[in-house]
Amino acid sequence: MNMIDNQRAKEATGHAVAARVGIGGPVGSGKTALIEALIPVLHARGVDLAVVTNDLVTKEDAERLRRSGLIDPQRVAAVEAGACPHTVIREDPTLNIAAGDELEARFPGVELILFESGGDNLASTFSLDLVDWWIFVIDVAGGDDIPRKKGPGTLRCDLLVINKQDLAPHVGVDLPRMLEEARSVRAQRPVILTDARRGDGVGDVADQIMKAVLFR
Amino acid sequence: MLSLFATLWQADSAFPNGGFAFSNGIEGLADLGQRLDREGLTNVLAMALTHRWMGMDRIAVSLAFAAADDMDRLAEIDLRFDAATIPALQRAGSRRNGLGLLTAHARLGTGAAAEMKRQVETGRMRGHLPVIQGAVWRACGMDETSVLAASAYTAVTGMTSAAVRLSLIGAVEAQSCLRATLPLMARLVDDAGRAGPLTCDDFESLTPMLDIATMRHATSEVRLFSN
Repeated sequence: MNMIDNQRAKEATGHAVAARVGIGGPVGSGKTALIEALIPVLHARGVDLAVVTNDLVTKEDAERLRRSGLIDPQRVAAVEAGACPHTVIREDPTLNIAAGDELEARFPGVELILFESGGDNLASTFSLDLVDWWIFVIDVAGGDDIPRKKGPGTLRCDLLVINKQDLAPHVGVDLPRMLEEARSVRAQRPVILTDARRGDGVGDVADQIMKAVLFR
Repeated sequence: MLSLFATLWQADSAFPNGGFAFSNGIEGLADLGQRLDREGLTNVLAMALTHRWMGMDRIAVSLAFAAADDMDRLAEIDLRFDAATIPALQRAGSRRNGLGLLTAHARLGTGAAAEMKRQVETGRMRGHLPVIQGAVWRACGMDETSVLAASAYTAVTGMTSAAVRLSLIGAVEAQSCLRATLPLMARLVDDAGRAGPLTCDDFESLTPMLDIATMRHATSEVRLFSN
């Protein structure tokens, strides 16, 4: 959202708007696990946050977060994607925008809303109507050729996360080469290796979010 | 000519309003084993238009069109529409789709859309789709007949698109259902134009199969669409 849109949104809602961050990537890459790992890290840094999930078929991701004990369940909203995981975050993000607006109205102090996509392929990207900044999550088990395929998600995101780094030796992935190729295709824009299950690299992801959209 | 272009703009499925996420009973019918081939889908579209849209949406659209500048009156129509929509998932879908349309127009600065959105967020309005269509589309420069036509058209294209995405019918074959429905839509919109003044007391619908399918859909653990 640019400055003019942000001002318009404030006029439309009557209150300050939260920073909105998208987290997209293929099914099974670890988006929900990354959010589960990020929540306590961001809470520890004093960030007031909420989450919107986009589940493709069920409400599993939303329920998983609500039952996690990591966040007030009221702060997790679910948006059904109507069989269109691309559409709901890009061509028609209005349901997600409205879900974010509702969370802001219910929790006036919220300063960060994470939007988790329903999981898609490498062509998935977020509309800048919906988010200010977005992360694309891939994983080593998906193959070390993913960066070389230069999908729009890999190339255009603000931060590329390569998750499940611990699996590299088990799936025959040359991790240093995968990281180097990812940085190369992204013209040296940020890439972070994580193991969301163990929390490795999650602090670095939080650093990037704090710096990019919370300015602290 | 402006009204025509405004209508093309608003009836275009590329306009972001959240409509893609709602099947309005189609997914529930499929779960019940209803055949939605060319004949089956055409019949369902005719049923929804004749026995739901004509007695519910059409009236709310016209009343909201007439009351576009009167927020209290819009809230009253909206609440009456809410009370007359029986299946909970149908009600929820209409409200969420209405809020989606309102969200886009609030961002675009259309008429009183931002104020209406505040009314919804503060609970003074429910934000049902036909009410938002009537008020917002008038502010877009559409005449009443065009608003009614766009409302009917988007109702059936939404259901048709859902049937395609559920792989119940092919994308091209679905267009034959839509084409077969055009004369009915034209007749209903003409009839609406000839009808005398209507009030919220005239809200009525009789689509038991669709309603039951929608109600059953509410408890489905696995679903692609909101309703």
